[in-house]
Amino acid sequence: MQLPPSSISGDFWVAFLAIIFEGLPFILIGAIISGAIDAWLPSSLMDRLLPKNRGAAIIVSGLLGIIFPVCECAIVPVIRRLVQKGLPVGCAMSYMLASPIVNPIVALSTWAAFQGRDPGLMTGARLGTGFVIAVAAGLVLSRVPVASLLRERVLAGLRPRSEAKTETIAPRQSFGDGVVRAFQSAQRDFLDVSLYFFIGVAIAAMTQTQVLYRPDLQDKIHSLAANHWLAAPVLMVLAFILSLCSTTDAFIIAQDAIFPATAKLAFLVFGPMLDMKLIFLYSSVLKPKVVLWLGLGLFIAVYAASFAAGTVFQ
Amino acid sequence: MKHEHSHDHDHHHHDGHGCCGHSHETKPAEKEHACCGEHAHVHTDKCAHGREHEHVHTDKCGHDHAHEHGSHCCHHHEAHEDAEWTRRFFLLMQAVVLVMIGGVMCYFVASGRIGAYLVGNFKILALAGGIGIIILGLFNLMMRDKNAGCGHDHSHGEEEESTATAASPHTHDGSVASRAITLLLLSGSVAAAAILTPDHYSRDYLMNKGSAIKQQPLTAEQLKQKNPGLASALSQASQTQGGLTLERLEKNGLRKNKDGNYELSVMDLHYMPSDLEYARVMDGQNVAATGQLVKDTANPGPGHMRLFTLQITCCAADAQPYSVPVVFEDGDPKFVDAGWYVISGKVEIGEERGMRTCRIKAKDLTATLRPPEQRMGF
Repeated sequence: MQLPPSSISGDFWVAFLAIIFEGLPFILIGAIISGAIDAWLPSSLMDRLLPKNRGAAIIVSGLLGIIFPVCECAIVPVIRRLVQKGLPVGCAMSYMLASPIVNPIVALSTWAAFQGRDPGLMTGARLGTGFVIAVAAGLVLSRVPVASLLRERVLAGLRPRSEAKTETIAPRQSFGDGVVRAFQSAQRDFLDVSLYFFIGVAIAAMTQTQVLYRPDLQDKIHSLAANHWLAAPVLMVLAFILSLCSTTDAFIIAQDAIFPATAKLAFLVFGPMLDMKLIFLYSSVLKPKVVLWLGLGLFIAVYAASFAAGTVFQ
Repeated sequence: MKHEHSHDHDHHHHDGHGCCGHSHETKPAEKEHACCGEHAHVHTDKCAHGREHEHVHTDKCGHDHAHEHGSHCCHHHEAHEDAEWTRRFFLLMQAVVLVMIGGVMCYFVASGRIGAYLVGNFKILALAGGIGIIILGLFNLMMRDKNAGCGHDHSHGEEEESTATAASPHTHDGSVASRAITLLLLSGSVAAAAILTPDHYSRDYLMNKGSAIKQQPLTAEQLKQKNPGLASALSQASQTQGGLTLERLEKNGLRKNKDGNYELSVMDLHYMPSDLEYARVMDGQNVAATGQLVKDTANPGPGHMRLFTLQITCCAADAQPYSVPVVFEDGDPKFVDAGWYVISGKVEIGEERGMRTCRIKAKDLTATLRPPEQRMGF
């Protein structure tokens, strides 16, 4: 088969397809989990499993990634369904933001990538900072009315708390009906989330291949790397554009010889919480205004946390 | 169309609805009639579709209470037919799009083109994902007659009823337009990408990326991770009197080609200066390395070239170019820009822009085919 010759536009398609091929299986896994939750998970289970105290429940949710490690692409359809099944939004946000960082796979990959460069410190700082920021975000968002946070379509499927509490067993249905329902839900979620994923990936691939590595821009980036105050935000913006998977981003940034460790920490914490594709994925659950404020809040929090962690590194 | 609806106050009855033939289970309640204060009965009817409808009847006020609920129900019936048709149409289209996306993923894996995009287990995951997406679409297509619903209580109020569109009485599915746009965007972008991708980056992009990424010298530990064969040799050397020697490296996998040159990868050469002992042993040795040859734009001059390879950690989007300087003393050789070559020459450990580097003082170049593990090269 005759392939088109390499070109600037070809670079975009290569990067676009690469991220799609990498991410789509995880979105499918997330959609299937979401479908299974819809078909078989009783709504009251959330209330029974999580602590009654709101703060404690949000903290526990931030640690769920240790038991149920889900990457940032797969987590969105799962969260969408869990919220509809009665998981409090604060807990959902805490789990959604923490899970791509606070999980054993990411811990191991960060450890391996930073071998010879304080791997324990960097791994601990990454997981710790990610957890604290995710829980803080969950606590803040738990105080906002649900109707102000969630998109109409998610709200439409929201099960009232009173109904969720009384449903002690999964809806009565045959196993076959359950499978059909799970698959139909999975397909709906997969297509919904994929749309946002594709848009995010297209923008990320476009920025990465057409803008980021222009020599003139690189000179400016390198000059900013030496600036104590700007190094971290520069890498956070880079993480946002590159939209890397949280299990591999450590290998990419660990090799960098220019940026300080605190900036690398900011890259490793901010990227899995918010990047170009996640902006659009989050928009399938949250209202655009909420995504904007969440992004802004996360940026400030990670920036501040990286400086706080900097004192530990020194 | 309006209906005069006579009602016999037989509570908890089932009646065949004249307009649409639905069976309605009626549960009455009383409320005051708005126009004359007489009491009225409010009946909540559940039709065969499982939706609930509220009907208001008055019997004692003497007014002509021409009810509109029959008309509403007929429209509702038509809306249901439309909605059902739309639902089936979109199930078919969704299945087509899912099979297409899954098919593209499976095709790239089956044809081997996936090697240009993903590495290692991600290829298997892409295949499994592709098959899974196809199964998802086909299963739902086969089960299109079975509407399992969403499990929610859809006892819509009048207001909600009126806002639901005929094509989308079930609000989770979105409007017809949004569903159509979703399918068009997904299928269109995947089709365009599959047709237009050259399976490798352009030379300019990788050159820019290569010079943009400043790779840190590796520690001995990292060097071992990148090259397990060398790891064993270095580890033994550090524990043995006399340190690292060529013999020890040969025992641990360092091979010579038929011309007597040590076969090293570009990555080996790139990271060689990171380990002082390794660099000491290899300095001045004849080696052969395979990569793509380009003019060195960062350090221009006659005979100044660069040998490139790519390493993908996860997917092509994170591809990192590695390169090693190559110097031809007699000026530029005859070569195809970015072509694949085996470069033979002597290793020289030196400095480039303040960093210890390894370069090849080239004696010969031989054109070669792109190695299978280097599908991504430009």
